[in-house]
Amino acid sequence: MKERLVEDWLTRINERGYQTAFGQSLLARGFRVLRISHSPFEHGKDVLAISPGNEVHGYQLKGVDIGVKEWEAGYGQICALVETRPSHPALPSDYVYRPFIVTNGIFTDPALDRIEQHNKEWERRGCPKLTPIGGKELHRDLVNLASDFWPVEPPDVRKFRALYLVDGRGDFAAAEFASFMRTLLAGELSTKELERRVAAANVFASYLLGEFYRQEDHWNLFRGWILTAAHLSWAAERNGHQQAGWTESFALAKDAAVTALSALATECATDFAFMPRGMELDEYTCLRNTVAVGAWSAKCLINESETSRRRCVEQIECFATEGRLWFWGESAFPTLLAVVWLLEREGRLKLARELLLGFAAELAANQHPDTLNPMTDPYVSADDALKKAIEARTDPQKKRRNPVQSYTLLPLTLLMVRRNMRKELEELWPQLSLVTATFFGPDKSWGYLEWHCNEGHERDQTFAQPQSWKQLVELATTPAIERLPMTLRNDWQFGLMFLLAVPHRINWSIIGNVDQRVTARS
Amino acid sequence: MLPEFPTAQEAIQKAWNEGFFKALGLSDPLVAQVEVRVQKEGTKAFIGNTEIQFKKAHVEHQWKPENGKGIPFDDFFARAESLGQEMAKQQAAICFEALSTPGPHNAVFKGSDSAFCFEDFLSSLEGMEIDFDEAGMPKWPAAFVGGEAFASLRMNRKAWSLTEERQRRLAEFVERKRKDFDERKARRRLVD
Repeated sequence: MKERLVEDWLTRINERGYQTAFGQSLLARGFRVLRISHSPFEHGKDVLAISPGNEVHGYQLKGVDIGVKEWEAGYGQICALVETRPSHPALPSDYVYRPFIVTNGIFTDPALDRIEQHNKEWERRGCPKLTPIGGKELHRDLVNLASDFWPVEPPDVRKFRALYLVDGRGDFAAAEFASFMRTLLAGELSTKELERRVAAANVFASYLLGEFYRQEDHWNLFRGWILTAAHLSWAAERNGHQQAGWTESFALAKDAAVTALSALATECATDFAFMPRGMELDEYTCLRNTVAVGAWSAKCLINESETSRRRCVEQIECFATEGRLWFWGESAFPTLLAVVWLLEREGRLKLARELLLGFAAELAANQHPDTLNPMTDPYVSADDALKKAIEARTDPQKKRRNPVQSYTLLPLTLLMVRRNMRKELEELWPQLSLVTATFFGPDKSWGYLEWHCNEGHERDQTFAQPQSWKQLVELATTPAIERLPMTLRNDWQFGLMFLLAVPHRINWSIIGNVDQRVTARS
Repeated sequence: MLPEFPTAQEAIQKAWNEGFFKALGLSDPLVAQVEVRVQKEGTKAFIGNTEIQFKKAHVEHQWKPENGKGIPFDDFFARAESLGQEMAKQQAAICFEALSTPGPHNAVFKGSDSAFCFEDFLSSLEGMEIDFDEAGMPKWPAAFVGGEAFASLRMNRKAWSLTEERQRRLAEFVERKRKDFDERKARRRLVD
């Protein structure tokens, strides 16, 4: 079954869909992957890597069968691949360069003959020879890479099958995906075993996200890759392998997430990107607007051109002015933060403060113990929050009352404290101090990286009455980052993306850490 | 593509469909009484030797989308209702068209310059089969009249209200129909 599944995946995927798995196969063969990207500046080299023999290899990835027609259509790029030498800060001044053209399909005989003829000419001109790598070779490498880790128990097989057979349009099952990753990476792992497993995890993630690549569902590709990266980090943290070879696989997964964010940002920046495609309920449109600008903001914070940043800020301002953003519940908090952080970095402090204050006012109004209409908690996804909102309005039914508390109250308050918004907080304090703050603290550092953490404690707490401002300032300036796993502690970009992908992990230690790093760069 | 939310989308579609079908099924008094039978397979259907003629009813609405803006909640679901009502009207029109040919199960009161009267009532029911319940009471067919005709009926009660003479004629009519009904009933048996 596994060979057939890989074959099915490989024949349906485009080049972006298999690039991470391909990068992982290079890592497994002892290569060092320097870059995976598709940009006008890569000059035909989608993947750049250094071989164990210190050769520099450039790979151009294709997602079609290559005949003479395809060869001729892409000839310019192929010339750039073969005839220009790669440039990268990690490359030595002198090296042997080898170009490769890779496809998940086949090379026809005339195309192979054409390559041979061109190679003779390139060799005569002192250029390197081009080597073709076809789908069969890719298939063999990928099957070997994960062959020991395929699910065999019926529940695991069912879980895998359900994750694989998706529409790829919004139906990413994050909890199930995380559970699959956890099963794959569980146990006490030696350094070597950890390396094998993280390699397999990246390959399996590529399989499971294949349909999202086909549908170009960038948002869920981003979520999938961040969850993958988080679980690679989880396995390493649990096994105490802080500096072992898993970090390159982690970087591949993280890069894949950034690439997905980048594709989403590019789409957001096009004219009429936010146009509804059919008859659409405004709440739905506003939800999409909000999630999309949140992701776009995150990408701008990580690395984005000035043009895109300016465009993103303009779009946020436009949406905010026209009331076209909907922060659907407490799981929207990381999205709000991404927007606020970008606005601050771009000097739009007033709007940033208004957004923070708006969320605080919402908490004060709707999250106190007597409320009948609280915000949904951060464990409720954007998708489910909108479903609940629709059902509450179209089919209102009396429901049993539940205690109301807020997971976002503490981090939100501390963010406002860090911004010295004492006056604004004082005005809201009589209502805000009625809200019960809840927070979850994993017992172990790796617990932060889990989608569902069994080992930890949840605690409800209210602010002291009266509450010391000085104490709040102390809390705000000293997030307990020593409790965090290495990746969340040291890599604020991963922290920012992790918050968006796992919106219920809204601990001050993570948020405060990212806040300090982002605002330091502002 | 920008993010999509299939769970919410399904909930919205479900609520919209409920609004639409509620309006379709209940807004028109005629359509509300018409039983709906859905053909499960095939593309043709017959009652006896008569092929059922399917007729298409079609409703549509237009909306000019704007970047980042959807349809406000109340407007969105009001569209479901108005489209359902419009569809019901079309279905009612198709029903009336089908019923305009008199048969054993339907009759048409043709409007004229003079007011509707008792004689019109009896003569239009003449060709119809009337069934009787277990207590022997006639199951009168439901009548549908337009608003104008209904106003005229109310104004001219004398023309069709039951006098002694009319009661006698009605009783005769019922007896005749009962006899027809009994004969029909007697024919419902197995023979060699």
